[in-house]
Amino acid sequence: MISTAKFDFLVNHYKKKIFNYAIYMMKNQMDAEDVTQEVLIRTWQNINNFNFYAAKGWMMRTTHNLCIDFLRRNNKMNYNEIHIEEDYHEEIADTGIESNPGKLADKIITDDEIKAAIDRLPERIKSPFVLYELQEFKYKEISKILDIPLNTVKVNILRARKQLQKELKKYANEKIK
Amino acid sequence: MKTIKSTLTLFVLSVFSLYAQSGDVTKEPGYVDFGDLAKFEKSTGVTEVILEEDLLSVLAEISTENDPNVMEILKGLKLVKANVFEVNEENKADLEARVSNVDSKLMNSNWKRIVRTRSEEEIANVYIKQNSNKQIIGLVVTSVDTDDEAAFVNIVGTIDLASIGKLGKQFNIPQLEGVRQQKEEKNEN
Amino acid sequence: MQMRKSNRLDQNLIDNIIRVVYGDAGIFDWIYIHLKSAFDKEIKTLLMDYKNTAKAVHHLKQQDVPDYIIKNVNKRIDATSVRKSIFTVISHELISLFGKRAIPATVIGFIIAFVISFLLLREPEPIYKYSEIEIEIAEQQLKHSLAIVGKAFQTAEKNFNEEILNNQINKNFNRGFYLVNNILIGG
Repeated sequence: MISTAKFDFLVNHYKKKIFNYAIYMMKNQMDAEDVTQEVLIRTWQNINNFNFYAAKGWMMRTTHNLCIDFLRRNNKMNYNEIHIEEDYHEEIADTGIESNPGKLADKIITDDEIKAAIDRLPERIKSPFVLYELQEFKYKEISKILDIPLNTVKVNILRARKQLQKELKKYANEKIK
Repeated sequence: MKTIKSTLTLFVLSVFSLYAQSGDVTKEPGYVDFGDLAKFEKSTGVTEVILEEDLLSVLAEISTENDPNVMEILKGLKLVKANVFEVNEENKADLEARVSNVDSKLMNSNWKRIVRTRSEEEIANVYIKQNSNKQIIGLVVTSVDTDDEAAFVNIVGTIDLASIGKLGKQFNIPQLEGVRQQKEEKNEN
Repeated sequence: MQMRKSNRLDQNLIDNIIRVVYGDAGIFDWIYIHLKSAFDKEIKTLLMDYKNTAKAVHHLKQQDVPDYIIKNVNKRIDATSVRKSIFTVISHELISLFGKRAIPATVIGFIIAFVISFLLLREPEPIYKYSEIEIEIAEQQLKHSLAIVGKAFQTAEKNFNEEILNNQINKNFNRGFYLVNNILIGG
């Protein structure tokens, strides 16, 4: 009875976060649904094994790991992620603004455009970005979920924000052409 | 910040749930607002019916002895409302336009239209709203009879469609016949 | 020229702009960046660009989980389905509040005491009794409303029998039989 109440509570509060995170990781709804289902089933199976107060982190970590496993199994990982440009901030300063000042500022960015741009981010920076900006987790929580140092979380989120800006500018330029 | 937010939310929700009136029928998914019908109320032969849950329960208790079928139907109902107007040359087009508006509104709000009849003299549409268990929780009838009257009926609650339709056919209200007779007399004169 | 510009917009400044726009920066950084942008067009443009993006990101809506997923999970684990009563919702919220351990128990106790005392001390709602005439009128009105519903069904039934069944279906059936009888069989 208590296990059911605990499980109901966790499902009600976290199912949306799990599902939406899985959508961004898997890039399609069907796979995200499978991952969500699997996470909830594993939560039930372990309901008496983990600390209830740490359940949120446990569930998100399980979601992240399942997504990674799934992607590796299907060989969908983008291995170009290791080529994140370290000095792309200069590109933004040099090319984006001089050629088309205020292009993004005046443009209305649609939900589809922003989602597509987030999808294109490499997994290593997309995960912390999605957890922080869209799922509203704190830095410390993300560090535990992804099992990476706190500073790495902050750096990767910053990189994601810059990369996202670059992606959107590229898209805006292509549209004009 | 989030913890303070959830505390405040819980507190406000508790206070509201205590003060809120129980069963606000306008919030029911089967409820339909037909819009402002005030302009049609200037014509003659206007009837407005609003029967809420408590009155319907009283009627259900009374009808137990006379007709148990009526009791069964009334048991699940939360609201019966109807606006009836006598149709004349002045208001006919407006009434037909209102029926059309209600049709668009309902078709865009997950209502199902189960009856649609249209002839020179008559338009009649019947719509139902179902919940996730496929139970009918709302019924709307809109009709315009050029020789008679126009009606906008909304029934809210758990509805057994077959029983209501059958029962409705039994009720041949003198008033309806009376309005028709009066019209015929008027035309003759 | 480009070198000078890229020196002006150095990494630290851009990082600060991003932090301000995404809500991570402290109040002093926020003031500093906005002051700088007031006097520098390039910084202002960059700030607005990032602001637009951040706004779009923060406005993204979360998708709802399809119901059948929860149903499938419940089927597999044989757990009871989620109850939607207000009691469950409130008790879940209470578990959450106690779970966070940030709100003192005294505050929760105060809220519960207030709710209980309100329920006990409020005046009962008056029960309205209907007169005989009111009930009679209501009965007539109910019959009238149901008659309208019945009439709509009757019209539909009449149309179906006369127009569709008789004119469209039966007519063609009869024609078909006539053809078979007279032309093919020669009866």
